[in-house]
Amino acid sequence: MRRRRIWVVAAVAVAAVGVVAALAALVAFVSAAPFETTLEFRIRDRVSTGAVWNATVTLQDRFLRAWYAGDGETLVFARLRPGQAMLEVSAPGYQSVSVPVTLRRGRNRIDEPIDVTGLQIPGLARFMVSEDLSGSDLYATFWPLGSEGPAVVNHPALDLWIGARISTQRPGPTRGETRFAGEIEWRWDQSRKALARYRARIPLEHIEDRGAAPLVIDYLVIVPDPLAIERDEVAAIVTAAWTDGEPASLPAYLARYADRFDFYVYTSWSLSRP
Amino acid sequence: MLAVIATVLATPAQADSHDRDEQLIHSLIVFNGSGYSRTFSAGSSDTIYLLADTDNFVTLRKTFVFYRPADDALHTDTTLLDAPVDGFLEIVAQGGAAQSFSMQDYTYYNLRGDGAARWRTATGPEAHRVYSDYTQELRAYREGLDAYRLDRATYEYMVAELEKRIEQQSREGGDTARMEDVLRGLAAPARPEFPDEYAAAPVRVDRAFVVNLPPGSYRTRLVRGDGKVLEGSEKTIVAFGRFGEPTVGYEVIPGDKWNRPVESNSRHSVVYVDGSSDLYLVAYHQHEFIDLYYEKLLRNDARGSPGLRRQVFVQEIPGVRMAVLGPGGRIATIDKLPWFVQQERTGSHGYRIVPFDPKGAHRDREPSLQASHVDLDRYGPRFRVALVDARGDMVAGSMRRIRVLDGSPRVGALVLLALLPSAVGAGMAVARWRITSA
Repeated sequence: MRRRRIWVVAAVAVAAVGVVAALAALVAFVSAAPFETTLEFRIRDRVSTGAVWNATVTLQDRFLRAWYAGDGETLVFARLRPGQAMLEVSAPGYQSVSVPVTLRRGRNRIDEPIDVTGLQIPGLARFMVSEDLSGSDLYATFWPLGSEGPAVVNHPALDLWIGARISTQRPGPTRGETRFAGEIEWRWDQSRKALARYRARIPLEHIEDRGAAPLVIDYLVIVPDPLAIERDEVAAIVTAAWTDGEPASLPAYLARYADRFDFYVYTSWSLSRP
Repeated sequence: MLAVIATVLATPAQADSHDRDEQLIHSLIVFNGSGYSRTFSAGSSDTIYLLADTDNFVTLRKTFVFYRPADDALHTDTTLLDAPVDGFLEIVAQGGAAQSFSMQDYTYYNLRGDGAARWRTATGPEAHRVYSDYTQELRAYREGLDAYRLDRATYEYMVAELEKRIEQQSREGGDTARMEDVLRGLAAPARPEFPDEYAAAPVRVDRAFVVNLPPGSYRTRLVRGDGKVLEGSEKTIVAFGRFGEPTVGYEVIPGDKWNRPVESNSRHSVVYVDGSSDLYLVAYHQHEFIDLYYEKLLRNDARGSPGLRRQVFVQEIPGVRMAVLGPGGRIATIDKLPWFVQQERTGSHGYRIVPFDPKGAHRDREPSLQASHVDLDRYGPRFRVALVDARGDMVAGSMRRIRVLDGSPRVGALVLLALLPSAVGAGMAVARWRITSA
């Protein structure tokens, strides 16, 4: 009788341990296996590696909108279905991108940012340039203007070729001696509050001996079609013509490449230090 | 040491340098019982609170959101980004049917009259017509005002000129009768009336989802024309109603603190007032809501208590008068009148509350308050007030007991109380002196 009781107690104890173990396993399963399928990813402008303005991203039956996405921000889709899917990124002025993804149940992540290529500056009609000559160098800001007049502030970063020809100014006014002609380097202003994105610094060491004469600067901005021409090809076509060619014949020369790039000319007269 | 000071000084600035985060928000213009207020539901919030059976205006937009420690609240920064996202707003009742809302042009306004009950929404072409009619009315008023100013200046010039000539003529002994007739016949131009059709004028026409839901819990999301769901748009909507019928609340305005009124929300509450001052009362209808829901209606990231209820002003009660009741019945009936707070150098408060005189001293001014003035000297230390309707019947739940406290402090009693320890000490000293000398 006593032995039987011992067996009963042992059986109950084993059963209790089993129940506790089963509950622990259930809790571990629930907490370790996420039920929701998500995808984390980043998108960025291929040229500036910054934000893609006004982007729409679609995946399965969901979409999201982003304006400053790419500015280090991770985008997330939730409530997805596991399986094969196509992530599609589009934005005004950009080439749409499709990225096949395999979604597993739970959290998914695309480690490398998705590069989106800018094709054009939407509504671009011309460029205007403003200069700051108060420091030791000349700082130029390039404003893309729409046909209606206002500047296009948020647009794809296109790999522009920008040239400057700096001359002394004679009365008339006419251009005098050319002190500098060549390509200038620009940088992309990624800050959210920037009203113009393309900025360039032009060292004035070439023209410091100009005396008191004011300067006249001709700018040439080449906006390439990224699908039709590479940046190096643009440089090969334009640099020599801009640096050494006859300014009057330049428009006709550049017009031959109208299917591969657009060009804009802007002249600033009477620049002098304040 | 300098480093410590620099750190301390820098801390508030750092705390104030807000990190702005691009978020999808639900921008909300919600009806709060007495008018419309704005709030937003940030990306981190999963629930939107709306008053049931009222028109509310919802848009989904991308903007920057930041936390401001100073008021412990989330705020939007729309200066750089304020992009509405278009689509259809799907709302599904729990276990019920789905509804789909399109964005539409809207305006809202309050017609002058019985307060909250007269809030109206106009949508589509009607919204444009209402707003356009109002702006035309306003333009006509401004043009009329310009003409009035010119006419008034001409009138005042003519009056002054005639008076000058009459005076000159009478000094010279001439006949002034004809000029006096002309002067008497001059009529001052009438100032145009401001369009007073609206208690709250129609707002500029905007675009939103106009959402009006019966009480309940709903799921919502924004769906594009091709059926795709906007990420982050899925939320719960709680449409909540009030408890029972409106009750009567009072705004209690003590004469010595007129800009710091208190509320009497329950018919069981007793209003204690300082007898050395005046008392002004404003009766209003109030609704009772769950505190948490109402707080989150006004500010989606606010905190509140789900177990508490709160009373909310809805509108002043039209067509009633205030009755003062003594032990034997009604003592007096008080009308609600306009009052003006007049600044004065003399007096203990620096101001005096006087009857508003729109044609005299307070011409072109607005009354400071509209209230029933209770003369505390007339009704003794204990009395009751209640509202009576046009037929003379008492409005249910409007009774309040008033207790008037003697305004003058009992200085004598206070002095006696202060002297008590000294008297006890002196008594003990005398007693000890007697014992030791015996």
